[in-house]
Amino acid sequence: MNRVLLVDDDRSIRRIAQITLSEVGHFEVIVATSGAEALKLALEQQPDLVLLDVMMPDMDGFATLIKLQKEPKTAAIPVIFMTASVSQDEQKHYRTLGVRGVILKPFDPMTLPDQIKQILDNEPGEEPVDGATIKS
Amino acid sequence: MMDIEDRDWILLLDDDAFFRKLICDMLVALGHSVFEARNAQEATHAVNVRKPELAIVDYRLPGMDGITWIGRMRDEGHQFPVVFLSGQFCDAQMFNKLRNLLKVSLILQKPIVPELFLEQVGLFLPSPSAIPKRPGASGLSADKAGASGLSADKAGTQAQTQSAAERSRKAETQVKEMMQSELKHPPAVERALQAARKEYAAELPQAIKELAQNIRAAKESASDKDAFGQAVHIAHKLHGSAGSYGFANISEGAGKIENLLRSLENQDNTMEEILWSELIRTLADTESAAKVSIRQVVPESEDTPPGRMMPRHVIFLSNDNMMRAAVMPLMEEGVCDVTISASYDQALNSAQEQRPDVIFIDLSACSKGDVFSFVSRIRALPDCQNVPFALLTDSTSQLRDGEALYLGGSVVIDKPVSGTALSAAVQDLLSLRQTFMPRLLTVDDDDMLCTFIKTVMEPQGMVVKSLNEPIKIIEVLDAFAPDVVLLDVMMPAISGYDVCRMIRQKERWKELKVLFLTSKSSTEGRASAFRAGADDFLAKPVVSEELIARVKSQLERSLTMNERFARDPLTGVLQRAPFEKAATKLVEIARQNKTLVTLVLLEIEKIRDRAAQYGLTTAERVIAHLGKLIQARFRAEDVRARLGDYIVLVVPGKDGEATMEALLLLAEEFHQTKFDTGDGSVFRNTLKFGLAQLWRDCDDAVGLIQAASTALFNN
Repeated sequence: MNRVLLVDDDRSIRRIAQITLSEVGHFEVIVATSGAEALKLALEQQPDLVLLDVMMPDMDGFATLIKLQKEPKTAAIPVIFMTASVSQDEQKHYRTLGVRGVILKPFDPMTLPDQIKQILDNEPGEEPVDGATIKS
Repeated sequence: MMDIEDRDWILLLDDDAFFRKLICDMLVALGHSVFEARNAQEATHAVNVRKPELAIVDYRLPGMDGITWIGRMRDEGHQFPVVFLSGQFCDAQMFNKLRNLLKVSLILQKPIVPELFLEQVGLFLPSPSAIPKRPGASGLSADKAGASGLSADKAGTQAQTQSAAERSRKAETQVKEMMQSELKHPPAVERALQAARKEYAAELPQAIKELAQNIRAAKESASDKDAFGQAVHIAHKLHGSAGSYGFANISEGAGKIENLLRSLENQDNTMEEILWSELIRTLADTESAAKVSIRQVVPESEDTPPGRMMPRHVIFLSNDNMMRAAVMPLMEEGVCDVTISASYDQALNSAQEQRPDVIFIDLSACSKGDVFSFVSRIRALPDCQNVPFALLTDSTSQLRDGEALYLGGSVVIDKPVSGTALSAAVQDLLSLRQTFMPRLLTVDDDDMLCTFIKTVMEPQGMVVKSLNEPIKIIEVLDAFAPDVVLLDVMMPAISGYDVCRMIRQKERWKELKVLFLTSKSSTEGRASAFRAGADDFLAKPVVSEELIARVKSQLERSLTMNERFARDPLTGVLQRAPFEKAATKLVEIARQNKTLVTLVLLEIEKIRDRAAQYGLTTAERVIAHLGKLIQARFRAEDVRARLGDYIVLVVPGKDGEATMEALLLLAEEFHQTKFDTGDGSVFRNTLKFGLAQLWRDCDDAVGLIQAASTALFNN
């Protein structure tokens, strides 16, 4: 596990996540600013993980996820959703779509890499980790 | 030899076995693998087997020295990070070679302080996640704790007693705790996050403004679906990003706003009004909370535009309209802030409101007697003791040189005066004013922070200088002679801790006040700051109120300040020690520039007889009066002090003739004052003085005092 595709239309989120993903988590980070760009980069770069924002203009997270799953060359790449607070039911619903986990926004950038590792350590099918904590 | 073929490792190249053991134990405790090399040959051999993650290299080695070895490695194309250790502080030339040519990451001085060493080296240590945890590496045994005792031995302290072992065990625990927190937040990441946070904070006000505009537009007209959608979108984004950047209160507010907006989408009309009012209230709360937290990160956001310095305050006392017209361009060009006053009372009021830096007095409109009382009153104001005065004269108000000196005019300008001459005079007097202000040196590689500190501290009446090449610290200290130093902990290649140790090594700067700027406000951060010799520390992000308070409290305790400005409580003039320094400096400058200095020793005639006759308190009243009078007369740059029963006055830039003229005026004014004896009668006093002039009577400071006293006693 070393290459992460980070997909978010919000520049601020991309910037802060990138810092700790690469410096603390020691991931190689690829960045996409839209669903369409994410599909293209996922195909070309074959990341080990896609970190996908749900609410994006044009193609949102759900649409992007479906397209990733339909394409044989990207179907096996695990996807983690990033989204603002959603209910447990909604999270369960996400997982039926084939998402490995959900990271809640806002997140603590320092522990973001750990959250990802925890989600990936869980076997698919286990309860998702939703331990987003905000440092004050 | 340790097997290094199949794991990450750190190279430790040092011929001192004790030192190797100390460092090695600490690194192993952290979970690192360390290979110890005693000389360059062993090190090269090991590097050829497998590239190290980090090399810690001593300078003095048997055979090839550390610098040559690093050079050899770089020549061969090895790029691993290097921490360089040396028994002495390196000079700027060596620093540049190590830093720029040999790409050394950090330069440290021996003896090291173990706790600080780990903090400093922590930046360059390979990530802990990459290191397989070694069994047993987590616990430190007692004999390992003794390792720091060994280094203490070398420093000349016997540290083998029970309590010493206890202490060192305690220190080890502290180190371990610190290391853990260090590993959790590698300083490089923290720096990057802080920079990102600052930028984000700068963008926040705009985002919040847009949110507010859209919400108001949506409330105004229910049909504005666009504005409504925009508001939801911005609130949603703010909730996620502001929170991730650590602005928890903004994130919370934005989240609440988003939820309220979403419920508005679905609600019937009965709830609508309540929801809107709740929404507006939340928006207002969020806006004000944002203001506070943004200002903590980007403090110069509103009141002062970044980079713009608070102007100096110049008071012009004149009712001459021509003069007023000549003054206006100064303000427009931003040279200074100008207050024009038509009367003494007006000028005094504005001096009380904003501390003046220079005061111009137009003599064509006022009598000299009034000038005396005005100058006395200004100098009695807080922080106004050393405000320089400029006197404007015309054909009706000609001044003799000695008169101007006695009135306190540092500069005398004949009217009419050109704009350029006026501007030059203002600049001269402002720099004269600066010599009396406390001085602050900022050492930080972050230009933005330096500018911020300047912006905050200059209006507080401080002279601020920034240094972003920490290796030049000693040179700059000697040239600038600050009273307080603000020192960043994390700088490229050299840490604030080592800069502080360099400062403390110089006898002259042992007592200098040093404040650390650190991004860690934790107990460990604080402890490291004090261990490195700091007087206080400031946590980043720096808040202006705290900055001012901390610097001021250090100034109050500053010996250098006391040395420069310690005053005699009875007379209000300088005490002997600061006088000697100030006088020596004036004479030195005069010798360099071949300018004049006169020194006068003043004696109140028969002062001892007065004490015997009327009591000591009465005699002291007379001495106090002379002190106050001489404080109110003469110029800001003249030095006045009390030496026992005598008052001494040093007048730079004037010859004996002008000074003598001023002294006669002083003697006359002093003689006019009547003192009561306590039994109903009054007496007057006479002033005696001895005067000496540099070049004419002698050519150094000691000679001047000698010559003045000879003149006094032969009078």
